[in-house]
Amino acid sequence: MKRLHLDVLIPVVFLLFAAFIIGFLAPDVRASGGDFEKLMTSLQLLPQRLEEIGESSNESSSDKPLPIIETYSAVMERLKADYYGKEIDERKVTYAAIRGMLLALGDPFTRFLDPDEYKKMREENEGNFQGIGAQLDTNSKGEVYIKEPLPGTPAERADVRKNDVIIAVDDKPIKGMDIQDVVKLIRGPKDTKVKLTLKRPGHSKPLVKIITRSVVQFRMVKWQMLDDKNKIGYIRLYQFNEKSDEQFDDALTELEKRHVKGLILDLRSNPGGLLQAAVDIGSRFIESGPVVIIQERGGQRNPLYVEQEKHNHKRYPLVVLVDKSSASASEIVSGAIKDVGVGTLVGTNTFGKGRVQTIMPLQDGSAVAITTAKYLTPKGTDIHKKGIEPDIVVEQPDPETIMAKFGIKDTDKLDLSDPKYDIQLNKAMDVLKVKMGILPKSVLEKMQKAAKALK
Amino acid sequence: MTYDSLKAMLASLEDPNTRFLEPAQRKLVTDAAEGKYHGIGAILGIKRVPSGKIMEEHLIVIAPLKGGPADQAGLKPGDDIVKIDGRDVLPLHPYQRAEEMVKEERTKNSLELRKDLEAERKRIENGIGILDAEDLLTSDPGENEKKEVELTVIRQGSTKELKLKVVRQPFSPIPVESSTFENGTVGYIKVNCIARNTAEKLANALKNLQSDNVKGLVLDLRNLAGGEINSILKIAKPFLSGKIMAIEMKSRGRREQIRVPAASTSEQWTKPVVVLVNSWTARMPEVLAAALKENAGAQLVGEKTYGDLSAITIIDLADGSAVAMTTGAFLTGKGGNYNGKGVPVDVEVASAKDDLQLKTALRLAAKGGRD
Repeated sequence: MKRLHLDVLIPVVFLLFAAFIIGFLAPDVRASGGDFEKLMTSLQLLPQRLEEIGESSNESSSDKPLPIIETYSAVMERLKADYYGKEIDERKVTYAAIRGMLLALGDPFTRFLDPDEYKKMREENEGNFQGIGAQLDTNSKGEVYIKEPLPGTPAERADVRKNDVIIAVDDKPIKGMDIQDVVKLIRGPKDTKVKLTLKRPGHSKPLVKIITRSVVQFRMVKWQMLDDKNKIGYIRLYQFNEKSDEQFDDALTELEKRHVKGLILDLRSNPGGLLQAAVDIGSRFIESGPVVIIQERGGQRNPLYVEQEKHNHKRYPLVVLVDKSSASASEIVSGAIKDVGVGTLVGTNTFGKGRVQTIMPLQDGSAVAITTAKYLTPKGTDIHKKGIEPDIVVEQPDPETIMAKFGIKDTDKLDLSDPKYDIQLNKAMDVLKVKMGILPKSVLEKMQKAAKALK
Repeated sequence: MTYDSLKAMLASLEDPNTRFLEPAQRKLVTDAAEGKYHGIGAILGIKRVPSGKIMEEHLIVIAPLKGGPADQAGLKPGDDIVKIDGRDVLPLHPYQRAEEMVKEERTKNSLELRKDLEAERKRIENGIGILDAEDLLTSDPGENEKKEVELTVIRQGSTKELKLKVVRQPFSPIPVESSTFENGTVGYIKVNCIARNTAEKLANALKNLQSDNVKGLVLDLRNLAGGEINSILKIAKPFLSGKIMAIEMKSRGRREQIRVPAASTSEQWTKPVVVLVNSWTARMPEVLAAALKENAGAQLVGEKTYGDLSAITIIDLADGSAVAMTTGAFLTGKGGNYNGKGVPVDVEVASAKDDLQLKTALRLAAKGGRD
């Protein structure tokens, strides 16, 4: 294997997805790496032979740090020459060395991405993947089923329907398989074919569908006219990628066709994404000035200004929903909206990721993400590790509380995706109604009092 | 940065014997070779134990060094250290249990799962990683640290948690203890640690037993781990003078015969030998036991040994840190491979009955090593 070297720095700046450190179960580079780093020892280690690499000085413990490249090369040579056990996978060992090196910086956002991880990130950023465009989920029996065929995708064209249970992929039974592995089987390069064997409710015989894969867009936006009477529109943005702004624009256009008068922008659980997408979407709400200020290492500030060509929609009263999983690009947008005062933030304190990463692709398809700058909200606030406090703090109660409130006894009867149990969303509607003049201002004051009492 | 890189690089081989040693850890190795121990004065081991569907690493006491802090506090071989000062000792991949919960309970109700996950998250947050735990218990307290730790252990064969208070302080065990049994007819030597002076003390003990005119010898290698090859070769000298100790298999098919140096006639032990071993006889002591069985006609009594007969080389780096690396595996002179299996015994006596193991060995030795 050729030695890795750093390719030319690409000028695109990314805001890495923070998802991997948000969720308890999300893969956490630091947690696994951290414990892995020292890894297994077993019995007390005692030397069997002593040898020395590098300059032989009997007075060891010099103050000079070990030179990283030379030490790496020497240890690698020794491993290749004398390691006894399974064959040394040089690539894997090198990747681990790079990961370890970056770990030392103590910055979870500066990290190594192997070719698979980097490819996945590029797909997410581009907003495309190659597959059939069916959203999968696991049902209560542990079966993998079609949650939804996305509109305009090969899955929809092949008449794959919601609730079809997948029995086999390319004749390989998938029973007991993890959903992620099923997804891997179904995905593949465009213009190739995949055979799905499906069990459809109400059909006794399994259905077989042969589907040609194509390029499918991730759906980044979900929209809905929440309240038809008061014309309250709702847009949920899942991530900030190259397709987000376009899909967001489409959603707003659809809502405007339906005469929307007030808007709820839901950024909860949105881990961020591309910096440019944050500026684009921020520009849709802010008249002028910077959406965000990038501060380089030397302290130099580069404001990223509103793009006037994004002002193709009317202004409506705006409420933004945020929570502790709203991170990076989500915080840029919500921070700007709050600073400029064009909307009201409702929910809980945001994640607090105020650092920008630059990706350096390496020649073998892997990449290194390095924190290269911080960002400030338009008023110059650094929200890193602090997050943004919403104007109106509303916690989402835990399911027990919801069950008690709605008098639900059986946990199976609780469908948390039902908007009526979404307390934050309902409060956001009330706030919006006050802003639209439908509800009296006292509603707002009551809410603020309740939030203070909680503190 | 270089340390972290090397640690991760070596850890990626997922070989427990191949790892990076920081200067302080490297010094522990030197000290142990000189018979100086730190921390609670016990040889600890990490064992993979099944827990439901997953495997978890446990921190196990292999041998509390006799007279040391762990021994005085009442720790026993095989004790599973589950908590230190109330903090759970966490396996290498602490999130496995949570992942398992999610998988297992995907079909069950989500409320209980959430509660369980929350409890698990707290457990992990408060816990201590197994490697940090090992470091803590094998090092002496710093100036501002308290000396005493409270260990919660689960004794072998029990499910009950036991709490013991142990002091962390430097300790040097007596390397070899010797006595006679059966009215002075059987010599007994217990090896407590394998240090540079162990061979000399052993040779002296053997000399005294020779003049006592015992009929046979019981060499107790139970709960004994680690060891440097040169020390173990010297220990073997009276029993295996000039004979083959082992064959070391190396990378790329290389093999090396390892011979015990020759001893003078007066140094050689010619009477029957019975060797006591158990599942905590690990590494070089296993190599020794196998060689004594094969080339000195010794009977092994007790239970199958630990099963790690790998050869480890420590490569010192310029700044006092080091790389420990598996560079081979030991076979017996006749090619017997007990790696991953453990050296089998001739007379099996379970470890739970310590006295019975010794009694059996003494009886055998008194009869000249044969039933």
